[in-house]
Order: sequence, then C-alpha cells, then structure tokens
Amino acid sequence: MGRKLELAIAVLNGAVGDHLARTGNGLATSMTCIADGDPLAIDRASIERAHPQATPRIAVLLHGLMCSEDIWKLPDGSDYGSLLARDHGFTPFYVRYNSGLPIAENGAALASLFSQLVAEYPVAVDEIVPIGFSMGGLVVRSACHAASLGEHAWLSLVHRAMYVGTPHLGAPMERVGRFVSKVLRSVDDPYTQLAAELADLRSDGMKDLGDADLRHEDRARRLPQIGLRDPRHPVPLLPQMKHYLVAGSLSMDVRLASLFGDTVVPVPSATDGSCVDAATFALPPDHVKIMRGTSHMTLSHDLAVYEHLRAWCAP
Amino acid sequence: MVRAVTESKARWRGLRALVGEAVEHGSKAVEVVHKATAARTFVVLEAIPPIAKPAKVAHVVHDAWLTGVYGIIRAVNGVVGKTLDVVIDVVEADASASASAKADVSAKADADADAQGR
Repeated sequence: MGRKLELAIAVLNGAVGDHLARTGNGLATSMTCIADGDPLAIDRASIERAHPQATPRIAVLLHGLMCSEDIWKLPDGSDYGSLLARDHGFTPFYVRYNSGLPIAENGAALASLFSQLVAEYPVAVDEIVPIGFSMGGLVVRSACHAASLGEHAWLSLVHRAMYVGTPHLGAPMERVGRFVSKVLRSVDDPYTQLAAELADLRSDGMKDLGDADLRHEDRARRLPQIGLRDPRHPVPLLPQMKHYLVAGSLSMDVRLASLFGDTVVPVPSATDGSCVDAATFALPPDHVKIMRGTSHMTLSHDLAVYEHLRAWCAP
Repeated sequence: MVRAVTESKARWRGLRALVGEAVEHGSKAVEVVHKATAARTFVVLEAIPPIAKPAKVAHVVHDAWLTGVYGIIRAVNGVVGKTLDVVIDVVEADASASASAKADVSAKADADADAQGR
C-alpha cells in the first residue's frame, strides 16, 4: 500500500507538481534521498545508520517524470544501485523529487543536495556518479550546469555521468501537445477553449521536457514547432566529465527508431543527436549504447542496460 | 512516528485542498462554457424583433440562475472542505495520542526490564 501510495503521489507530482508546490499543498514532494522506502535525512548520523559500510564512491540515481525510486527495481528486488554496490563497491543513493517542478528548479535542488551529501558523508568522497533516467538525466545536467556556474566543489568529484533514456534534445510528444494546445486555443469555441485549458494544466516539468530546457531562461526560446532537433540548445554536455548515454529503440529500422525510439524518446534525442549527425558527433562511440527492442520504462530496470553501466562505472 | 503522522496529516489536507480546487476551478470553467453555449441561442432569439425583449429578459434570468447554481456548488464545496479539515484534525489527534500512549508503554516496559536486569 505504502509504495503504491508513493507511486500515485509521484504521478500526481509529475502531472501538477508545480501547482502543488506553488500552493504549499502537502502532497508536493520535496527532493530527498530515500533509503528502504523512507526519507533519509542528509546528516552524518543518518547516513551512517543507512550505510554502515559507506564507501568513497557514491552512485546517485534519479528517476524520471511521474516515477518514484521504485522504477529502478529489477524483478529480483535488486536495482542498478545495489548491483553497482556489489560489483564496484559503490554506495547508492536514490533521489525522490517532484518531477512536475521546472527542471532548472530540480537541478538547483540537486546541486545543493550534492553539496550537503559531500559535506555530511562519513568518509572522504572519491567520486560521485549520477545516473539519471529520462527526466532525471536532464536534472543531473541542470545540476552540473548550475554547479559549474556557482563553482560547487562537488562538481570536481563527478568524473562521469550516466543518462538512461534521457531526452537530451527534447521530447517530441510534449512538443506535439504544445502544438495541439495552441491550435485548440486559436479556435473560438468555448468547448475547445476548455480543452486547451485542460491541456495546459500539465506541469512545468512536463513542459520543460519538450525542448529539454535546463535553465529557466531556456523557455524563452520555445517555438510552436514539432521538429526534433533544436540546434540552438544552449547548454552543451559539460566537457570536464565523461558522459555515457543509453537509448532504447523498439524498432530495428533506423527511420522508425529516429521517429519513435523507445516510444517516448526518439533515439537521436536520447543520444544527443550523435548517432544521426556525424558532423556534431561529440561522444566516443563506446559511450553511447542503443538497446534494440527495449521500451522506455524498461530501460530503468534491465540487466542488459546494467551491463553497460557496470562496464562504464569500472574504477 | 510523529513525523509520519505529521506527513500523513499534510497529505490528507493536500488531497482535500486539491479536490476542493478541482471542484472550484472546474465549476468555474464549466459555468463559462455553459453560459457561452446558451448565449449562442439567445443571440439568435434576441435578433428576432417580436421576441427580442423577452429573449433578453430570459437570457439575463438564465445567466443569473446559472451563476446561482454554480455558486451553490462552490459554497457546498467550501463547507465540505472545512468539515473535512476538522475531521482530519480529530482523526490525526487520536492517532497521535494513540502513538504517544504506545511509546509510553514501550518506554515503561524497557525501564522495568532494565530495573529487573540490575
């Protein structure tokens, strides 16, 4: 019941979480780490209790839109974090956040959570590896971007970041929604106006996914278009760390994969465009993996995906 | 335990507020659509000279009636919300008292066991 309730609240937060937070509603989720289903206070004593064998390498896992940390659970009860703990001695932290808030807001919250975590961690931290699923990857990028501007010390501990099914170039489905809403608004009819209002109720976080807006000011560049690639994306992957990307694709056909990808994120978006545009190819080929026959949600709890994460996380 | 009770209370209040807002804003949106739809018919009737005047009167009465009906829905929604706030307070107060009593009993048992051990 507890986990189902948390999932229901996560879905609600993804849908209207910005409104919940704005109105001080008790259903709004605050960004927090979760240990064994309960919030974990980021202080030395609590961390020691949750992780008596804390190691110098930390893996931080962030779920996606309308998800909770349960999205990482594999059928046998393990997850990428616990498997990385077993295979590479990582100490895993699972972050729960309000996915309806603007990505930039969650990014800033994650940046300060990292600062707090490093300050309170019982042993000296050698490395932090953020692993973001879907929107979680954009939150990681936003946090790293904010940290690079604010000179947060923890950024020097992030040598590599993993993105699983993350829409680096935005999610066309959201842009279609934006376009439909605009069309409905242009029709002078009370029923279509009502439908447009309902469509616009979706959260800021969801709207940010359209163009992968990592900063508040990025929303100004939104255009009523349904294109996939936005060459003006103003926040590139940070050059001081290695980036590893996993994309899903239900189809073997390259054109279908480009259009639909894992049904939510097209392959070019999940791979930051690198697999379709040789001119802008920025990442080494072995930093990008396309999982054929894998849907979006499956990417977050799939042993084949984990094998890549494990290889990339090797010391 | 206290934190869980507080969080649970905040969530119940949050749910109550969210449902209240949905009824409030939903009824306003439907009211607008309702009036706009009816206005289409009234505009046609008001353009026919022999029935223009009674049609205008009917339009005003209709809109006033609608405002009243939707207003009553929102008022009832407000009263239900306030009542639920009280119910949540009472239920959570009982839960807190019960939790405190259990904690006291447990602490007393621990103290007794310590005393016997000595």
